[in-house]
Amino acid sequence: MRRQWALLEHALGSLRRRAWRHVALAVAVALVVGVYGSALLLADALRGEWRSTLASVPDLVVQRLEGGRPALVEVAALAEVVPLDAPGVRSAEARVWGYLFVEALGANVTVVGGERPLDGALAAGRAPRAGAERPECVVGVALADHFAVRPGDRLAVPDARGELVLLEVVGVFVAASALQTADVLVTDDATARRLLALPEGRATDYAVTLSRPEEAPVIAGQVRARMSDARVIERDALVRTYELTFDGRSGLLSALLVPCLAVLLLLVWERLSGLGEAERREIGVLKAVGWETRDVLTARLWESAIVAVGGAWVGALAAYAHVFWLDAVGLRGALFGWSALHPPLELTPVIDPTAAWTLLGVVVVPFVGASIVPAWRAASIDVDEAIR
Amino acid sequence: MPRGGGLATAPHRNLTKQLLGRGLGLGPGVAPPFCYTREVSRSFQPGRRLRAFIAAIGALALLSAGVVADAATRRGVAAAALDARRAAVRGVGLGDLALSSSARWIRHPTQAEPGAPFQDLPSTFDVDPAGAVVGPPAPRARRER
Repeated sequence: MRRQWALLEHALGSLRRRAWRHVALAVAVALVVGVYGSALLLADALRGEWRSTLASVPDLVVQRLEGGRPALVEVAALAEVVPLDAPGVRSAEARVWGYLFVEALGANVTVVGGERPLDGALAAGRAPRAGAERPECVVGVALADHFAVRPGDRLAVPDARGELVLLEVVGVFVAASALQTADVLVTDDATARRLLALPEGRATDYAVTLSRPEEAPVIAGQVRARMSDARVIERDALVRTYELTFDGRSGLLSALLVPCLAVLLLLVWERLSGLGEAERREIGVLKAVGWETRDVLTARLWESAIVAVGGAWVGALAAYAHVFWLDAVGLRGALFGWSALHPPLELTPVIDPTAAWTLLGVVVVPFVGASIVPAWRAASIDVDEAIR
Repeated sequence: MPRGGGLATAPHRNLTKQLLGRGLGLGPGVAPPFCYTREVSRSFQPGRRLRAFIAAIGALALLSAGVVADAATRRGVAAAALDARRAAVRGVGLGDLALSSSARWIRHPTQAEPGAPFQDLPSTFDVDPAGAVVGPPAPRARRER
């Protein structure tokens, strides 16, 4: 143990003598780990956000395809397609929802109609009531901020035909649900139909909740048998879509960083394999006074490990700070793409140990590995030749 | 003292002094290098650099502890708000993240069709989920159309 302490102290002295070279390498390691780490942390946090509310989405969504595209469904046909007395079906509804492009925002507002159960989901106000004197609505925080409205204010929104509809804001969703509801506007059925230009008797899709979610494939098969032009989206399909989305985007970002990693390793090899005159003489003297090859090798490995682990450690901390304290500035654009209406990003850290070890394995292990051969060459140097 | 390579500037000055004290007689101005022997090893005392190194590790560990505490706080806040978020998603009926409000086909990727590019603008490619290089297994793809 004492021997290792002594070798470590020697390695520290060696690091200090060639401080700038090692600082440059440590900064490069920190940069690569930091950028990789940020992408992983952000993707994992978003995945965690979505998974945490997964249980609240309907088990099945039934759409109708017309010409290969989603078309409106008949409200009256719901009882026929998804009989409420069918075994395993807890509830089924024809939903009225869709997108309304608001030019003033440069973004689409997700309009949801009908009497929605919003207990516990609102920061202020109440759910909209049908048949009120003036149409009522509940909005997400991003919409409320953009329009500068609070419960009690009035909001004029152009409908799909361009005519202004005056709504009374009666509630705002809690800020914690901003990632899901930032651009959502919930209103009564008739107003939603007017905003979306949706004819009476038609709906966007059917949402089905099951008593036992594991029966989804069976119920989905029954729905397909009753409605030949149906496209049934099961919850596991939603999971896969999201996994694909985030894995795809963060994977693409990571793939872009592979050349950076290759350059880093090349730099390490180049910097550590070129022995300077002073280093050669130093190793020669060490061996002349009784150091074994093993000791020289160990001291060199300590040097590499300190640089790699120190750099990676700083990089990992910087990645956390970047994602959770600086809202992933610079990276969110690459991962989310452009949008005029972004929700405030208040993410919860979800750290995947596999990803953390992979990151460590991809950067630190190759770094130390790339320094072994130069270290071995340095350690097996001929004393006579080195001192001379 | 020579700089940049001579072991005269190397660590273990205490050891160097000990060696000098034993009368190695290397002459004035020539400090002996750290001689790794069993006896020296036994008399090894952590030097200034080692203490600075341990202090640096301690500082990083402290920062890491701060990060862990911050993560725990954020998780606590998120857990407290989870019911409200679930209620919001249950109420709206749509669980997709509102990250892209400027394109209809990507606002609710789980509700979008699996293979319909160019929905919004000519030459915009469909990134989700058709953006995957490898498709789903054939029976599943048929079932989901």
